[in-house]
Amino acid sequence: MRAQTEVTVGSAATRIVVSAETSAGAVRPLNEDSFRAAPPLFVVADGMGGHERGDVASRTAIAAIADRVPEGSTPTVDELLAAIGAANDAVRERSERDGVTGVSGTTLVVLGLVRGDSEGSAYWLAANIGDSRLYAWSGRDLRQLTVDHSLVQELVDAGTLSVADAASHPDRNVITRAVGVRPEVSADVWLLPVVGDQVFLLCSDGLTRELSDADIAALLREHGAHGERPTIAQALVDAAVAAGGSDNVTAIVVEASSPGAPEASDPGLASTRDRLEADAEDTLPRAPEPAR
Amino acid sequence: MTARYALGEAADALLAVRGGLAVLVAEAPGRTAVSAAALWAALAEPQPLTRVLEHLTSAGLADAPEFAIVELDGPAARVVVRGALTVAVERSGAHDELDGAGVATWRESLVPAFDVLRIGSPVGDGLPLEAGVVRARGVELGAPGSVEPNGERNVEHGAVASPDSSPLTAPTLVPLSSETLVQHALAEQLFEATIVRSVTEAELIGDHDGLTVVGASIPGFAERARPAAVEAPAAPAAPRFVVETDQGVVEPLAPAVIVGRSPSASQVASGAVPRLIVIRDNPDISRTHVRIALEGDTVVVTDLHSRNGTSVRLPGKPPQLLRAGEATAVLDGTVVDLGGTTLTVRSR
Repeated sequence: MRAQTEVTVGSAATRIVVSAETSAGAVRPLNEDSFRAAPPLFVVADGMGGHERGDVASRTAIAAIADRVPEGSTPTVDELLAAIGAANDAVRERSERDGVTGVSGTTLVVLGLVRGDSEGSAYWLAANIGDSRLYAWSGRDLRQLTVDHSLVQELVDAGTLSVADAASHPDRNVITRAVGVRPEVSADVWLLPVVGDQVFLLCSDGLTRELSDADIAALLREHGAHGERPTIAQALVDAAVAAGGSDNVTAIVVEASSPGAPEASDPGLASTRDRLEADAEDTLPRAPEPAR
Repeated sequence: MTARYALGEAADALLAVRGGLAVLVAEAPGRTAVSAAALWAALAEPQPLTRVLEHLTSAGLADAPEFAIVELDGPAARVVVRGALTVAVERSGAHDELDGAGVATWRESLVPAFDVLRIGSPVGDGLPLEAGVVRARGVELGAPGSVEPNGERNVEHGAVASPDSSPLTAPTLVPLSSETLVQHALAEQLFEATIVRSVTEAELIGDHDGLTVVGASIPGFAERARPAAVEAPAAPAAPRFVVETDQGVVEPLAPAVIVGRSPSASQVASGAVPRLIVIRDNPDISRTHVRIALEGDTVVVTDLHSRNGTSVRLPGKPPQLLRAGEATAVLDGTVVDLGGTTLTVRSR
């Protein structure tokens, strides 16, 4: 699907073009991924549990969020986080009601425009649970913003596994957090400024398992903003299925343009080091203070 | 005292922290290994510095390992170092180094005041340690009164390194062999009714290609994944604090604010999302400049590697320039200066 919307928060308007696509892939009989692209809120959920339980879990999670955040609305930070909490409750209740004995749950990656506390300010809120991801595309570089809650990510963080080896690790499908599994779930959250032109990609691991960051960047670069058929999301999903499609594949590409806001030189901040570099460009040094 | 340390392996030095004392003992092949339990016990005795020295040199000076001991005494620190280990002393941007090279016994120095003491390898995003014995490649000790920087990533690590459950055990990584991991998961699945019950055994072992499995039941990982902020909410009796900008904007510290020209927050737990304060029309301020947070019942200020720095003025004290990335505890009435823009910390 492809949609174009304009969202106004306070005095600032953000124009959003979104395309979204999902596929069961080339191997699996069922598509347990679900997504919601209801500007300015975007969600990808990758369900798990087998025997259609994953499909139920991912759809239940997304329905719970949709209930709390109607299309076109800009919630506060607390409201959007409460919606994620409600998704966890809903998936648990559903599993209980259906008498599910095995594990049933879903990943979640969320990107939404949220209302700030003062003077019509707005931010992007990004949140993830599990190994579905959010990327920022600067037009040149693709940067992964979220950090997976997965076994291989833990091993990479601990310094015992290289990023290159993580892609082929036999336990790369083991995630360490999921929606609907425990009574409480904590998402990792990012707040990002709304600036100029920003492009975001939300996807399930079916995309990143088949396509490297370089492959994804090449597709985004080639596609540009023009191609409407196929949409960029469709092009990404098709490429992942053609590359093997061993898992369900979902992609949402969000192109946001906020003319009132300053030009984006840094669409998302992934780490302190990036922030250091970014700030090195943007702030003029003050005259050194006399030594004390 | 809270130390931050770089996690080591079996052949790395033993780090013991208890009360106001920290000891780092290097391992050397062929030498009798120092007993963690004995070291831990010595730290609990009266005059622990003497006890630790006696213990470390009990096999005679020739066979004594290389070590470094730091004993805090108010703002001062007594540093004892033997062999090639180096204790780096940072003070107001000045740097000094103490080592025991060329000395047959050990070198003892009194450091009257310091910001940070570093021993061994750089700790980077080190793991916090309040008390316990661990394997470490290096350790960093902040001056008394300073507070551990509570970087977002560190929050999670904090949950692992917390030594209170078994202070004598070095935090060990979960075994890396995938077989072991699967067995752990299966064992939990089969023998514990309350935990996440995962997919069937056949699926877990047979289908690694695309099947998503929750690994929360794997020992160690679930603990690690749980953010500390959720486990340790601010004490209900703690005073409530607000931050007031010079424009009159008042934000509660519930639990944190991030201030800048166009601020952002990276990877924070959903229970501890900061409020963002935007300061416009001051080009000296970095996009994401400073974080002010309530941690327990203490307000801490952290300069987020801003271009022009942040200083704090505690009531009745001269301004103090913050070290980038290091959390500093402040009091009610403290003025935080971002360079032309100030914020005031108030209790209410």
